Amino acid sequence: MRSIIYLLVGIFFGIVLFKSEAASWFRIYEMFQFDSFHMYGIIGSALVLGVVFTQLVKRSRVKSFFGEQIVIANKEKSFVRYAVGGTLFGLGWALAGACPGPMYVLAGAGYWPILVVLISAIFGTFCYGLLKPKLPH
Amino acid sequence: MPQKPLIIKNSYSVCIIEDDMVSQFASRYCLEQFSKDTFAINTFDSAEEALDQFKHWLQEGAVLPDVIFLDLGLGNMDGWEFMDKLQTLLDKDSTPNIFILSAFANSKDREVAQNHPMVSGYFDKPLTRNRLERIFKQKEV
Repeated sequence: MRSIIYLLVGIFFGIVLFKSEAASWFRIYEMFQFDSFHMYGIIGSALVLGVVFTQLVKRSRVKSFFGEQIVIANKEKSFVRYAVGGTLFGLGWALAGACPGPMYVLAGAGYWPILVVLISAIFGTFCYGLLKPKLPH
Repeated sequence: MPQKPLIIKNSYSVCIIEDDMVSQFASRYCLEQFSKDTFAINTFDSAEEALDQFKHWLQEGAVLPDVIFLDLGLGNMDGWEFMDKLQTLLDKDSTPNIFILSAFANSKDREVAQNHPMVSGYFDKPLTRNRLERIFKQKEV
């Protein structure tokens, strides 16, 4: 049951990403050129709604769909991890023309070359796991 | 705006006027993916360059491209001025099919383009297969 709900939410999110053209490499190219408000609008509205809902959940102590307490762990305060990670993420985003969510959307839409990016990203995550103790955070 | 689909023939001469290298590549790639042998593609980085070439072609008695994909936000001379200048070069009945390819979500340009007599259609960048199918009614590609 739980997996089915996750699946449905994921499918809905995928459709939103595709239909809003957040999965389009060209929209991402325009964003990095500061040519179009489109992507900033999508990311900005997601950010604002995310802040509002996270605060609502934290303050109202609502239970989850399955009747459990929702616990949102606080993030560790750190500059290095976000600066280094964000820069690397941005470089990859511009280079591949896709961030992690749309990779799956594009694979589903039949753009097979994205599988190279997808497999590389999984390999990169694996490498990070191996190197994690040695990296600054 | 109702767009007249063009019946596909064996060869089309297509011209892309676009100052942004990536957009130019995206348009060319989309055309080549749509049909390998149908299009003879000329690209120009500026409106001036395209006009010079057009003048040269006309002097030589050659025909102008069948289809022009025109960006609006070009360098010194923008897409509107290009069309004005082009009109002075041409007879009324020999105007090529001009399709505007403009930056996403620029609704003001869209309105002006819809009422412009030389414009056959208006699309947001990038060019896609669906849009090409609407322009070129497929017969044997």
